[in-house]
Amino acid sequence: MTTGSLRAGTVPRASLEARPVFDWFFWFGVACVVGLYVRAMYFTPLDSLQGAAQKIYYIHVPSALGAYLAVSIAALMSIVYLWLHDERADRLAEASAEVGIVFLSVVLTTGPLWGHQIWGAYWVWWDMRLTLTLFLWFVVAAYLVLRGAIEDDAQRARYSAVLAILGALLIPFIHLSVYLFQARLHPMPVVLKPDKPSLPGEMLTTFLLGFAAFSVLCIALIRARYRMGVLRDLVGDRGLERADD
Amino acid sequence: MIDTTGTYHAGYAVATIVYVGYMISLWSRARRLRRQLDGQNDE
Repeated sequence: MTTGSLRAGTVPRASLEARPVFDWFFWFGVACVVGLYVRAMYFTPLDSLQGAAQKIYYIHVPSALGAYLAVSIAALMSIVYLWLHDERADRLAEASAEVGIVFLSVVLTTGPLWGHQIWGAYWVWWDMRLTLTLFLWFVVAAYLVLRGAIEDDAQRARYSAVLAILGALLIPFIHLSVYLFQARLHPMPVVLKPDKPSLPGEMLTTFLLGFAAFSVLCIALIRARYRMGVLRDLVGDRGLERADD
Repeated sequence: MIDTTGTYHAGYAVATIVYVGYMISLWSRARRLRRQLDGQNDE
């Protein structure tokens, strides 16, 4: 099932092929996260100070790293698009940004729940990691809104690529914000730091499994969303072909 | 140790709802597109 038609304002399109949106890799990603839930809930000890709420760590931080991964892929593919004008890079950037906002939404909902229990507040604006993460959420949301607002394919891809690259510049600031600002509620990193991780063995293992599981889920969702984008473009191309006839 | 089980359950439930909700949204959009494509092929 291929087509090679050309939309107004685009470079020649490579032939498209509709593939299953949900294949074995998607279900593998889901299985990894289900396995992580079981490991975190039933086979990881409770934190002696925070109790069960600390287990939110095993989904909150890996989701944050998944969001970094998705937004970074969106920015990288945007650079590739601006360089090569390859529509596959634009489609992959779009898919990554959409998955990125899902992961960011999980970060921004699980974090305040945990924070309310441990810090006594759902949100504090002067904690830069919180505020910059929310800002990144708005930038990615703006990226998706922008894509929906521009009709011309090439113009949409170009403008949104610039926004994706600018948005990804926030990621190092979010990660380093605990070093850069004295006033903060977020703790210093316990794993992603220059020294040895300071988590006990079983907790560290669960965290690393969580990081792997959510990374696989992130890539599986990006892959599924990319394939859905191919399907959408195929439907659009067929419609244009019929209009031309 | 304080009992924080409610928060822990709420965190896991919220994360599950967001991820599964997105998967359902993907499935629903893909199914609609697949039907449109099949309809175009039939014509």
